[in-house]
Amino acid sequence: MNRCLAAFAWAALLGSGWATAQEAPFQEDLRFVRELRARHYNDLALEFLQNLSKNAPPELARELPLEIAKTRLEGAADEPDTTKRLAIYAQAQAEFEKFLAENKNHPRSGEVTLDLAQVAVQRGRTQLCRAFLQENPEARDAEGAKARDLLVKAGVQLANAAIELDKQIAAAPEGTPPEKAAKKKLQDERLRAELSIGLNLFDQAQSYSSTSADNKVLLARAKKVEAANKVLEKLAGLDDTNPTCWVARAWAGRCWNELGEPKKARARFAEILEAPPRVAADGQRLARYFRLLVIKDQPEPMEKPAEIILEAGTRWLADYPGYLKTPEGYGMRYLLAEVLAEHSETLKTPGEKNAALGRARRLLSEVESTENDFSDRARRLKIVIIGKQGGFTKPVVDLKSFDDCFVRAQYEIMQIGEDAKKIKDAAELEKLRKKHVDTLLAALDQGLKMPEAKKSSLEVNNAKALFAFYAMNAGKYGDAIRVGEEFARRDPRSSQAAMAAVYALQSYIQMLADPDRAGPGDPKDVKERMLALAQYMKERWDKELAGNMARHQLGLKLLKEVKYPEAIAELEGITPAYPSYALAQFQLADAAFSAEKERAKPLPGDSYRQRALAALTRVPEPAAGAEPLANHVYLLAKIRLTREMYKARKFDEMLKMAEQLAARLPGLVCEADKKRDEAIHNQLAFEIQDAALYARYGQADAAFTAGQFPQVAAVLDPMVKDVNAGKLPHFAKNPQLGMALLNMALKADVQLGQLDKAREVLKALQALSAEAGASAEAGSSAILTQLALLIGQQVEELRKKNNEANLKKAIEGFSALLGDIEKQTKTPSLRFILQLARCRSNMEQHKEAAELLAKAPEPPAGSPDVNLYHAIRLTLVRELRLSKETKKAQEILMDEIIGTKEKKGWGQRDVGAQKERVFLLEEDGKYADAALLANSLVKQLLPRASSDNAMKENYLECYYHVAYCFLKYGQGLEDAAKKDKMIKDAAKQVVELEKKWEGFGSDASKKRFEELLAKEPQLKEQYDLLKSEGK
Amino acid sequence: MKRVRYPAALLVLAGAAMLAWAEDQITYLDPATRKEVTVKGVIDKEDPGGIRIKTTMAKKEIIKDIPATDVRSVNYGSKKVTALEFRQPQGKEARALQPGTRAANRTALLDEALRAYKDLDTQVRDEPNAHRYLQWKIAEVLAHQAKDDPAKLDAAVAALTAYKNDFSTGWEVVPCLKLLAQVLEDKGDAAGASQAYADLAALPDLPRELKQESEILGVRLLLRVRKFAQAEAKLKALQAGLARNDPQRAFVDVCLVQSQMAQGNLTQAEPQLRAVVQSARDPAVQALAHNLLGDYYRVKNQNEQAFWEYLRVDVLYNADREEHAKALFYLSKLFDKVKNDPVRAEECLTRLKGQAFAGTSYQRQANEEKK
Repeated sequence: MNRCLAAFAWAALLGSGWATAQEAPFQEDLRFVRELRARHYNDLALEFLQNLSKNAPPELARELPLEIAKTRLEGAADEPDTTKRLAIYAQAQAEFEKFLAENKNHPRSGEVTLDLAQVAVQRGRTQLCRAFLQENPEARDAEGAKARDLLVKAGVQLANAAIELDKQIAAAPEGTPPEKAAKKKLQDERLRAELSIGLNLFDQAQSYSSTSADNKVLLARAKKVEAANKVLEKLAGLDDTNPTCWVARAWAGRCWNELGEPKKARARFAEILEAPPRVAADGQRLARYFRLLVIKDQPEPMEKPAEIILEAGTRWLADYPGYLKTPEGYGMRYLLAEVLAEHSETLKTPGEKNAALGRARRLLSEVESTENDFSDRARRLKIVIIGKQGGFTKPVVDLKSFDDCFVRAQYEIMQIGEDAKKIKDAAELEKLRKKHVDTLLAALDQGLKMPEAKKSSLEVNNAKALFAFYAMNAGKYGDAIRVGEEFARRDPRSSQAAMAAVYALQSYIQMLADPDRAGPGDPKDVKERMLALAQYMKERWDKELAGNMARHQLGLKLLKEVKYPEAIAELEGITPAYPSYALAQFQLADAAFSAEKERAKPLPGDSYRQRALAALTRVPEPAAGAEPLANHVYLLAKIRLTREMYKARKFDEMLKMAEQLAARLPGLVCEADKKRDEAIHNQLAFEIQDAALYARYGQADAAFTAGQFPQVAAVLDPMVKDVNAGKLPHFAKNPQLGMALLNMALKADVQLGQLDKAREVLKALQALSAEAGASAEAGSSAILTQLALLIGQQVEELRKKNNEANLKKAIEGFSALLGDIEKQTKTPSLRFILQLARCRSNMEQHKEAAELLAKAPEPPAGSPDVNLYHAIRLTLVRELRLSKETKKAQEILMDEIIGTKEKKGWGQRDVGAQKERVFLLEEDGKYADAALLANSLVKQLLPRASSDNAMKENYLECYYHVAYCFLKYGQGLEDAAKKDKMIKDAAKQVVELEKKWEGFGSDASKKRFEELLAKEPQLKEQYDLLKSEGK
Repeated sequence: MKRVRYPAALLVLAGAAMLAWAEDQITYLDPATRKEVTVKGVIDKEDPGGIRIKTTMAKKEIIKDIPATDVRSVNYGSKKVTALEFRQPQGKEARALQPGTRAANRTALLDEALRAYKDLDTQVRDEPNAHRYLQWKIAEVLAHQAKDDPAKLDAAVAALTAYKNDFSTGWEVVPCLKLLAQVLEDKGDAAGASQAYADLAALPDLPRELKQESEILGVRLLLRVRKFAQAEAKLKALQAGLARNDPQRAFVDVCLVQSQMAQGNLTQAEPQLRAVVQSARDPAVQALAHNLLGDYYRVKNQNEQAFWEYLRVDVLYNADREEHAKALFYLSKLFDKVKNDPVRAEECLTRLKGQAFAGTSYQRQANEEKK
């Protein structure tokens, strides 16, 4: 019996009953769908239903998911590829389950329960079919176990459906004739459900290997057969007027044979064959096939199995042409072919032999045409037969039919596998492989040119896909494209067309990458053709591998053309099932970041940044044993994501991810070549650790800003210990990060008054400097430079916050640390002195700073330290001025640094020295002189201000002092009018500068003026007035 | 004893056969089941409206009226020829017209049928009903032959014209005039074809529905030959005479839309056709309306929508050969263009080129394109 068709007929019966009972306006649409399904236009039916669902009224919308699931279920039966068929069943099952969950009291819920059970059965059977297709016993057992699992679950569902039917039967009234008919229908369905239960047990038995050496396996198989037999025998005896019971009887006979009771099996078959065909026709069809199996396996002493099987089998095929695509139809043809092959040995003339073998081959070709229980066995037997006919030793040109050529190609493929098992010499193996590939390509090419290959069939399609694949791998890209693309466009619904398209597209890509192989013609044409194919694939196989690959290629092409929005739209269409999904998502993220950077035209919905982050997040974790590229891409994507997390201040998440990546890294191979893999690993390890350290820095910085110093210390102290213990070589490569982290630790420890810890940090800083190659003294100087900066920042910050207590604590802490450093440095260099003085100065310890600087020894003339010494002297002037020792400062500045006309000092033309002169004049209240001097400096500096940033800063500073001196001078005048005029002039200068330099020229300048305006209300008043007048 | 008994038995059997043959036998299309049904009895009346036969059903004598358009074949009870002889040429003709019959075989079968009909006619010339029927069959076979061989068109026209002039009172005149109109149209004689439909509509005793159908056929011819003003005038006249719920009304409405569309006026086409599709029950109207919607979408370059309209005709409303042929013609293009499915496109073309659509304008168009 055609079990699959029976299931569908059952469902269709229930479905059509429902349809006629309804008078809904959408009935015509559903009738259209049913007709499409009846024509095996399941793809169109599905598309139509999906279109309907966009604007369906509620009552139709409720039915559509069920119709979609049913359409999918029917479509699955037409799919010859078991992998795809299983995927369709899984989807249909999910849809039925969803429907049932959402419509518990739907009138069709009983029907759906049965549909679900039948889907489960079909999934199990398809998986079983896959098991039968496996070549080696281990794989067969593994696939068989998967099938068994599915079949057991299906059995439970069938049992539940049977219970549901029992309930419906018990509740069904039978007063009127229609009620009686309805009840009878339910009872018939119940019998069919029982038959399915029995057959499901038989299928479960088939999932155990019958040739296993393990007795346990054989016992388990026998037990399942016994259980099936029990159910089927019981059903067989229930009702002689019901066809289902006769079918059960036939299967019971089959079970007896399986259980080693051929006589009982024969007796069962005899009963069935003598029964009236009116009720027993289905059972008889099966019994006629099953009987021949018994005769072949266990013939009676006087029987001639070959003769009986050839005669009865031939009659069977003639009597049941509509049942050729059923398991028994395939089984019968395989049985006949097997017997013919054996029988040919007994025939005397070559003509008779060839005729028998030719018929066997034709039968086997028919069996091979779909993936069924017998496909693999048929393929193997065919190869054996062709071997007997000498088909594998003949030159390819002598092969006369498509079939000969195709089988020869299959044989060559098989030989590649066989050689790999036997030959160890890689060069020899490659030589043979190449020979086999050349032969198989020649055979396929020849076969595909033969007239019988013009018509689409599974074998022809397989041949085309195989040709495209091997041609691509052999670098014959033009051939791969010729056959693969033509096939994909000509017969896109065939199961292999999508893969052929993929091979063609890959060939185009290779061709473009390697123009030498492109042959004559314009590469632009090749590119255009590639794009046209990709576009076609995208439209034709939208969410499948081919469609995804096409989107990927189109996306990359658009990226090359810097069309970011279009590229992003393409890449976003790729689905997770795509093998290069991780890479595509990484490229998508990159494109989105670029689009953001280049301010590309926005796409509707999320921003480019959001899209980039989503894409990086979507990059899946690689499965065990994944391709090196997938591993590499995964790591790169996640590292990139951590950087983005830093920008988004998601430090905890960032640290967690970095730690996870660090743990995953050693197990992920990123490159097949070991040396390269090691180099990549080192780089990635560095980046991951960098990410972790940045995350810690972010955490610490956030805590420090919030004044949570203990938390900062908690985050950073372990790292300080690591540095001091030499466990963080990472900072040698990224000293900036190390310094930033240690500075943060230092600041926190100072704030916490934890001087011991702060000293540890200093030690770590010194270690870091040493690692960076600096001498101890230079290291100390570098630390002091850092410290000076740090102290400056922190003192300013605390002062701004007016936090006297913390300020005091910080100064005490830093002072203590500086004392330590000073003590440790026995012979301080000029640089050391200068940095130490700056530290003191930043803590407003100007006197101490001046004392330090004054002690600095003058280097001999021509020494490289002369400039440093000059800086010390000028800083000394500044520190003296700030500690109110202006006279002393004036002496050093004028006598030593600036000198006289006659005896020019080294700083006569030094801007810093000249500025210091202005400051000293200001300090002494000589604002008019100071203004004049500052103004002359402004004039000198102006020409260079627009081309030299340092000069610009000096210019702005001097300009400030001109305005400042005007103000101060004016404020000192007694004449109110003159006073006002001077203040107004000062304000005018401020406004002019602001206008000329668009906001005071620089941040520092702006800060200076803003502070001045805030401090001087008279100036502010005039400034505002001028601004309001628009001057 | 045996020698005497044997010929006697034969005589009894022959008598039984003759007796059985004295009955008339009509095979017609049951409109309810769309299946062919055979009824035996005595023909009581025949006119362009159809045949009235007295028959027995459940042991009760009843009178059954069969419309002329539903009649498939009649075996008139003849005293000169046996039922087997009468059926023989009809069987050949039926086999010739089967979709799977090869061209050469078809020609041979039609030749044989024609010869047999002529031969039978010579035998039953004095049985008016049988003679009239056989004359019709001869004219009909000639028309079938003309479909395969345009050189025979004139002969077919002559035979059909002679028939309609000589036998204007029989039921056969209805299919005869329809066929004559088709043959004349195939010949390029639109005026003649139009006149044939007018003659059909003017037949006395013709039922109202058949009269309307004849007029609509005439209008559709006018549309095909692009005489829109004339067609619309006739349609409006028809429309005025039809109630809103009259089954023919939808057909007339669609024909009016068709006329407008053919003149390039598309503004109201879609809503009007959609309204018809929603309300009409007649599959022929549905076929016409869906095909026109397909045309509308094609013109608007909305090929995806056009595809689904034609597919609906192919799958659901495929009773009218000409409309079905049209749907297949466009599907053979749109399957490839819209669905990237050249295999199904080719399937449609193969079906269109099959015998089932022999003589349709779209088959001719498809053949022309291939050349």
